[in-house]
Amino acid sequence: MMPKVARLHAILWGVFSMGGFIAAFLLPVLIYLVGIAYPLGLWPMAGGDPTSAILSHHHIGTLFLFVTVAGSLYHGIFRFQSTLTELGLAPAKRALEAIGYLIIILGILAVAYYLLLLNPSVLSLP
Amino acid sequence: MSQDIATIRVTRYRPEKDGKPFFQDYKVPYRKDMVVLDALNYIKANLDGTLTYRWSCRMGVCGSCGANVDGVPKLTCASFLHEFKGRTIKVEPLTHFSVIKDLVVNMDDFMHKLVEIKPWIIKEKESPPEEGEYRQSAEELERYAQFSSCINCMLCYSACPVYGLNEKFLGPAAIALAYRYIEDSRDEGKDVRFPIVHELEGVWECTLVGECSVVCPKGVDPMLAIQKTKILGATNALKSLVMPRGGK
Repeated sequence: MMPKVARLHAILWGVFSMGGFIAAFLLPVLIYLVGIAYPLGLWPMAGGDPTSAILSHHHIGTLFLFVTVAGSLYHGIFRFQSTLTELGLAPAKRALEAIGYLIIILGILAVAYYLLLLNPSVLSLP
Repeated sequence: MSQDIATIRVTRYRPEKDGKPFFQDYKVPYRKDMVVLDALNYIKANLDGTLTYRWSCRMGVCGSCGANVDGVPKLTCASFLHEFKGRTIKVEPLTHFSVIKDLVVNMDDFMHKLVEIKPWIIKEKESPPEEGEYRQSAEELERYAQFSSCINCMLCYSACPVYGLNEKFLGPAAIALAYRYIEDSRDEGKDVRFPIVHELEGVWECTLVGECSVVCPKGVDPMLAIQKTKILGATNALKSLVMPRGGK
């Protein structure tokens, strides 16, 4: 049996690991669609940008955007913690981690808020 | 066979005499087939009998002769002098360990951690010898074979910045060895080893720098063992969350 604190850490690590997977596979797709294809005129759908297209089609699109951004943010804070350890910033680590987590939580809330604004119907899911 | 001269700059430290470590240079004639350990033996035999270092097999098996050669943790018996031609070869004790004398470091912490992970096959019930050996297929062996090649040379600890920052970290070799037994189909000691490797200062302290795998002279990949142990831990933790009574 694993110690309780370690079990919690293991679950958080699992989320971090999935966040890394998301960051590696989904984020490049999003960057290509929004940052490269659309501005260069390679986006095939007339009358709408990729984000609106993703959101307007399915609730799964909203989920895709939320998971991509939130997963990447969470992966970022976990890696940030590791960087603090590697830099030997142990005395300031807790304070910096707290600031980092605050930024990430605000980021995730902001993403959720904007996605709700863009696609309010997601709340009426059965 | 032609001979060149190598300059070996060795860390000297005699706690009873010296306030702090210092470097001492020695000129050593060498042939193409000589290694850093040969140079140290030459110094000991011909130039300075007080030089102290560990060694035994001279063939990369015993793991005793590890040192920082030119700033990189290496087995001195596997570091050829001609590879450093034209340069002064700096030989220092392994970093992250306290020095007993010259190149000899204190291994107590590592030895303690090695025993802690119980590097032997644990059976819930031992079967008598007349019932024969515990059999294993080639595929089952393959799952852990590389991790059983560790020679406990401690180069991975010296290369690991996380161990350098937190000596409570269980460390690459001990975790790789624990994983070797966790993956062994004959072993039944998961419940005993899991709490040890999954302590916060077990696998979770590792930040995936990966230098342990780079410096290993036996091709062991401790970083992979740590990642796989983390995955086992995360899977187990999720199971116990979903099935509090059934998961472990």
